[in-house]
Amino acid sequence: MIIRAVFLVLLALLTFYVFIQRRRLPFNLIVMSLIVVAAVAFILRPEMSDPIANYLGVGTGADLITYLIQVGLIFATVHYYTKFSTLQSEMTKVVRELALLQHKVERLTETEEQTGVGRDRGRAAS
Amino acid sequence: MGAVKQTLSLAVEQHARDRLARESEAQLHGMWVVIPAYNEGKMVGEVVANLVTLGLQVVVVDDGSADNTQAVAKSAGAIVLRHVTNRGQGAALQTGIDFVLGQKASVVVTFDADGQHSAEDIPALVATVRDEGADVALGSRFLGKMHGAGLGRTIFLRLSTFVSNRLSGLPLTDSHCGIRAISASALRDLRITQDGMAHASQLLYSIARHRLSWKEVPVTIRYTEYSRAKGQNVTQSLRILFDYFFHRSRGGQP
Repeated sequence: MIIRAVFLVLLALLTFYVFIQRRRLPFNLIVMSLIVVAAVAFILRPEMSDPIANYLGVGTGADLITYLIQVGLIFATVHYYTKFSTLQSEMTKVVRELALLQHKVERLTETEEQTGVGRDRGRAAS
Repeated sequence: MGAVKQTLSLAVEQHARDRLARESEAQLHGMWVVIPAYNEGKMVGEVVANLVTLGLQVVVVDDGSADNTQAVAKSAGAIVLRHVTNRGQGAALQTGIDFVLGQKASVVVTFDADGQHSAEDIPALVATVRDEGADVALGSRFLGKMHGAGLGRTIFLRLSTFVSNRLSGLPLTDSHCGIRAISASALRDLRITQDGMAHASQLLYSIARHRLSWKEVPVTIRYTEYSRAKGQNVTQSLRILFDYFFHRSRGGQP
């Protein structure tokens, strides 16, 4: 029985976390609600999942849930890897821009030092 | 009379020297060498100095090295751009390319920092682009010479060329040679978005896709213990293949 309580508490925390993310689309919230309702039902009445499992040709309800979780994890991994690699290429763009800018600044500073242009700029500002 | 003769011959000599200088300046004008470097402090100085002595304009992209690559390259006479964090060889190359295109480069030579390439191969590569009108001149160690490569490396290189040719559709003798010359106009089509080592395959794929003209040029590669340690192995090439296909599956050019 303790395990049910633990699962329900974790589920409640997860649900709370998802719902305070206000930027989520209504569609996401509806899907999340359905999943939460199903999860609560299966935690309280695990035997409810057996008929569905039988209908789909999987041994027991617990097996079905394990498979669903595996599929979900694969989707999540692919999704986050894609996001991760997009971030990587964004980061490259930033690093590149910075390298080019840094060089420009160095060159400008060198020219200023050589010609004396802008020598008083710091003083004027202060 | 002797003095006049001497003055005259001096003037003739000076004129010849000026002419040579002018010609080589015209030839070197708009020509840039881009060298991506990551922790290459030991070799990059010598590599840059060799190129600078030939009168070439060199830009080294220090890809977030932890050693003194930046300082060494700069004191050897290169312009150094620095990535604040390591982004990979492909990313470093593209940074260098962006920079030299901004400097109105007409031909860009890509060159490795580990000392395996020979500066003497550059004129032939550039001439292939400038005089023969090819968009891209690709170095080939199998048409040229390769020193210090064991049987294992030779087989590995042949195999990766075979795989790469299947992917790009180009019938090359050497698909992963880092020394090449590319015209500025072609570079606008050949944007490298593969930050890692898969950029070499991406480049070939893009050449085929944009129907750019290319030619292989014999080059000499010298493997040393240093450059061998820096080279690719089988595990890394599997990673490169993964990057290639992952990128491609996302709708980008691989």
